[in-house]
Amino acid sequence: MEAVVPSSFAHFLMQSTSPLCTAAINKVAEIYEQLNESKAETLKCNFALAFPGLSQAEILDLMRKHRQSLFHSELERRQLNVMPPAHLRRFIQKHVEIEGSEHLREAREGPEPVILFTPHYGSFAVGVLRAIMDFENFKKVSLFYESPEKNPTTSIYKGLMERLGCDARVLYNDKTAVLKGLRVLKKGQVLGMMPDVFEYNLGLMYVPFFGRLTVAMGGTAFFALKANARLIPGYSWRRERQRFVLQYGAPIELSRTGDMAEDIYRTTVRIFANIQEQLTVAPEHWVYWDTFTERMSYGAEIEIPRASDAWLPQFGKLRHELATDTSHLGRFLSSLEARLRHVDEPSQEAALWETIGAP
Amino acid sequence: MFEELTFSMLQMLHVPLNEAERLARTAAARRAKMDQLVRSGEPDRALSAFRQMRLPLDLAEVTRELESHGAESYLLALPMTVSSVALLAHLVEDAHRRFCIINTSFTRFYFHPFLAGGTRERVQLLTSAEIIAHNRGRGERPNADAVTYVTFPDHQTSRRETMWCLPFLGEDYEFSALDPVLFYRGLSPLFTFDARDFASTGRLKLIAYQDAAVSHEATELNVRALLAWLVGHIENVFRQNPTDVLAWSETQMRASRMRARAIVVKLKLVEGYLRVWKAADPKLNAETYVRSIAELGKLQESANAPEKARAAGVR
Repeated sequence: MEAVVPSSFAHFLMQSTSPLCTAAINKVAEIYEQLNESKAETLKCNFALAFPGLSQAEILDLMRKHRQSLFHSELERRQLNVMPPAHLRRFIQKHVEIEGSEHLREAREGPEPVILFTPHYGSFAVGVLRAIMDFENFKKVSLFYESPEKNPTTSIYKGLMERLGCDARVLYNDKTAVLKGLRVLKKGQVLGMMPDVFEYNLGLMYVPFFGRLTVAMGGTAFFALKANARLIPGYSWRRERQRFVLQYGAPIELSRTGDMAEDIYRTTVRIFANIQEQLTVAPEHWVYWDTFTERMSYGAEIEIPRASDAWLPQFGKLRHELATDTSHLGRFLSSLEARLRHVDEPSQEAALWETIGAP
Repeated sequence: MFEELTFSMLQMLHVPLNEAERLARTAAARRAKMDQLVRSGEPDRALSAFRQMRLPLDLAEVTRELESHGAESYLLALPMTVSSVALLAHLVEDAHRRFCIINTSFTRFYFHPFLAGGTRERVQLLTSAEIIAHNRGRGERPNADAVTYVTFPDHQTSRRETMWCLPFLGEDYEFSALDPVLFYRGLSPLFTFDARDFASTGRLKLIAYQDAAVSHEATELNVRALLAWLVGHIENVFRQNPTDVLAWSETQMRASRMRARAIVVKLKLVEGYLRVWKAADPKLNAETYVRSIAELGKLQESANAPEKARAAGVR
């Protein structure tokens, strides 16, 4: 992008940090909100689902802050993209404050590899660049993300990292991703991952998230477990004009039951619990609130019971959501439900084989 | 082949067994004839034989319609049928046009005579990405021959994230966004077969997509509307003229894969629920839990097996 941006525009972008500009962006975000009624309605519903305790006025306020955060985040990305190398380094060094520096220090100095993860949250582009600089001279950083062919918004990162000049590396999420990632970790280096993206493939799982079950990918946990890596959460956001925070969290404890599938599941549960914690403290910065229900189980119809005695009826509701009583899947789930009710009914597993094909 | 076709027609058309067998017998005979011509090793004779086939469409009318677009390029998004192959055998006689046909396992076989015979200079098979790039490059070749792009939406594929799920013959089915992408990148008209009057006339017609959208862009809404239109017409051909369809088994297998994938996601959701339940409720019987998780895992594994084999290139 740098090559096609006129230098005067680049200059304008870099200077777009005045209080007046901040106010203008906030205003644009507000107008955008008003012009996109259906998107605003979806967002409102999603916030209400995640935070049932909030009043209507509080949700509207949260929506406003969320839009502002998104607009600022996008402008920041564009600003970073037009900064010359020296300016970029200076900007990141000068304007980002570190929280949780003890976790950074331990991660830098410890012998084990590090997995640094962040959701698409706030000023994550600024945060990622700062993390690369923080690990410079200690451990080389490799970042995992979708190739620009798959996700055009990622096209700027390779250039950004090159201009930062820290020898960071990009790993695209393709068929060779697992090997490349493991190689990085084997060398005791740092792997950056963003676990809040998903696709419906065979590696997905469902984990608790805001009182429901969300789709999650097991990749981050898999790498951490395979390499016995230090798994560190990182969150970055804009505190005020020209002031950003990068917060390093305490390492997430890896599950060690000895059963890899179980450990991936449990570690992924912990990763999402950590993300939920941050999203509860300052929700406005998460980029994906507009698609919150899409990642939940069946449009968020199924809540996780809060009291232990409600689990079985809720399972019945889940069964009804997933299949009709007469379908093979429905019959299998009915037999499973009976078993969970301690009624010894023959399993209808055989019926389901008919649908999915016998092995 | 007869058994495969019968099974696919039973599954997809939901017709009685004797009807499925009757249809499958006719379809198998037509396909066997096509296959024999392709394998004959005489591409020009095969092409000539394709041209001799009785087409369920008014060839003069179709040719007139297509010729009215003169030197323009356009897109034929057709069902993978005997008629489509035979129609193209006629169209490739036009020495002033080039033909870019989507590269699939079916087209590699059935269009082999086109690539090996006297038309080889004008016909090429391209992947989805190559077709998109070729169409993009048309603007840079103003004096080049007009191009007829040919796709087969019922069985072509593209990258997973560019496949859209739409109902087809009552099943969830995946269609590539290739055709909408080409259309909204300026490749129009987009033609397909219209089988609405087939029952009364025994004739297919050519129909062009009329874009009702306000903004002429590949927005989600526009892509879905175009695919729904296209899929509707292709489904009609499958229903009205099933013995003409070449890719029955492929269609049935793809629908079955989609069904298996949907079941896996549901089983994973049930597994997720049980796992959270176990963690929260000590009263949940441990033995029941272990047995249930194992059963869910086994079912997922089995449903995933064809997908895994496909990913590994095992057929």
